[in-house]
Amino acid sequence: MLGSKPVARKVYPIEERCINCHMCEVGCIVEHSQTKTLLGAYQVEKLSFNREWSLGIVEPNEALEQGRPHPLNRCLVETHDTLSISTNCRHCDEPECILACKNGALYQDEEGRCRLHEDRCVGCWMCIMGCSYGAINRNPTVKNVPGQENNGIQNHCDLCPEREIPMCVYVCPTKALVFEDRGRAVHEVE
Amino acid sequence: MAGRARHYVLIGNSFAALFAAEAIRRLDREGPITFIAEEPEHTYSRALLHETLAGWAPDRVIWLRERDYYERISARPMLGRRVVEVRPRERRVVLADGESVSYDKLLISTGGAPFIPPGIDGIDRFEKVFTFTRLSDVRAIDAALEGVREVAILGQGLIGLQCAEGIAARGRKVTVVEIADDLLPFALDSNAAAIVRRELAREKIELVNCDTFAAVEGAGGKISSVLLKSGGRIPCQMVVIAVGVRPLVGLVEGSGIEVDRGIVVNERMETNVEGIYAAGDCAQGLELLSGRKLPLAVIPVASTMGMYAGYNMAGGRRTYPGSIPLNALQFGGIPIISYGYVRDEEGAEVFCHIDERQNVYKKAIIKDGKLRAVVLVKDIERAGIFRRLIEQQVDVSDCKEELMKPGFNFAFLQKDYRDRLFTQPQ
Repeated sequence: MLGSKPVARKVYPIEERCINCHMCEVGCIVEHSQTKTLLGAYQVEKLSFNREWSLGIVEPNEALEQGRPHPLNRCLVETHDTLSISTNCRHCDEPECILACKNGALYQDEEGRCRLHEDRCVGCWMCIMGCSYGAINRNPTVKNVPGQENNGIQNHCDLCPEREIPMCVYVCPTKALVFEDRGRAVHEVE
Repeated sequence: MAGRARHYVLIGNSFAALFAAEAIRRLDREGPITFIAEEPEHTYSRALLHETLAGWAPDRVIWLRERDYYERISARPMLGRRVVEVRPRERRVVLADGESVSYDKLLISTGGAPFIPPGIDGIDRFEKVFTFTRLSDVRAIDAALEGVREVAILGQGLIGLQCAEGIAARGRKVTVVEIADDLLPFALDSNAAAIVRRELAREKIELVNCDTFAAVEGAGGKISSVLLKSGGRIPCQMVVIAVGVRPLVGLVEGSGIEVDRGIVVNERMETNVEGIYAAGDCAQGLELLSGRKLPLAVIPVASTMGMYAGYNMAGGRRTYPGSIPLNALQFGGIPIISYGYVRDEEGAEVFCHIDERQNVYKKAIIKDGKLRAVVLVKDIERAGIFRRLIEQQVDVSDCKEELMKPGFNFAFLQKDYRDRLFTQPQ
């Protein structure tokens, strides 16, 4: 469902400042863990991952079965040669994910953030098809349609609703992520 | 419209109508909204019918919006009511029960109706012949499954194959017949189709191609078999016809509203009749790759057309940018996403990545340095990146070799493209 109010502050990456340290991903995992501590999240809850280790396993369910869980970070550092940039959900005013969602599990909340009813997502991946920002990944640990093989739910940035500043921005050592109001989307002004 | 609030009437209760209502509410919090829909159910997802039939989907996931949705957006639902006529001069619609409803702005989003091909002898003589596009079809099939061991389905499109999966999950032997030589020819290329065929075989679903139903046979209202055009016979006790849907546009007959294959709309989703808009499977919007207007019966297109219709009905001025064909499917738990015309390789460069051990197949079709189509099997992570590259015809010649390889990402693309996406509000 579309909400009526656009998000004011969003997370913007500054690629010239990114040093490819992946702290944003670590911070994100910890913030969305049960214990909200580094050691607790990685060693007790086993949210840890090794991206290289997981390479070659494209199905999160298979990775999970093999004891190599895919990361559940909601931001993602993209790299090529010497360039790196942390990307995540744009919390669009007219979200392609919500327009594609096949059962209304995705919605805009009263702050305009794109959120997920986690108990309603059926894992059809229409949102992954829709999102031009590549901001959505698959979480195989929650299954609402267990009869469907390789079921899971989608996973994307929620702007850390319990925090004033999202954790990725807070932990970034070089201020390569900023949380600010850059005005309204072009189409809103039209 | 000085003096009084605009009355918005939306015919339909699925994606296009819902997003139209929500867009209207962004611009107009006062004007009354009325939904009129033929089906009596609360708004539900047609894309979850087979999971429902299979018994996989819990009830909570099939409803598109909360129970108090209409109240929350101050709308009046008139469900289980069918519009039979649109009278533009009187600005009113007439319902099957004789009542009429007047409007200031009207949206037609009736969707599609299953097409029953002519020439299947005896099809109207049997009870257990079904189509599969509505929740009522699921309930009817569910109630009729008792005593059925074998089912014959006509049509290897998405509806036919999903129906097959749903019925197979209920332990029945299913055979799916298709006149074309391959399944899902619009969404999948032959390699991706081969992977789907293998998954369906694993689920014991039998596929017959280059053939069609000639007759439904049986006695006393009970089906015993289907006779194929080739002369073969499929023993079965139930038949499902799933050869496709056609835009449901009967209600505009005689209204002066222009209809081609679907209802013809301009870039604001308005028909040739002032104040009447159309969106979703019943309408034809711009398809970007061909540059033509045609019905694209997929959810994101219906939702987006509905949203643009809503803005314009409420006095906004928004131009629908158009869409490309796009699909997300899964069979046997293998996810597939495709964009564009995936079999059109003439005069194109084709780049593939195949990992047979992992069941991964990825293909990109590039013409003049621009991405025209993509198929992704199993490795669907971040597929949407390709959607925008195709829609905006971005030049990808300097990274075309990398596009389908594992690890391709935004850092391979031009900085100005990345900046457009990530440095300004969307």
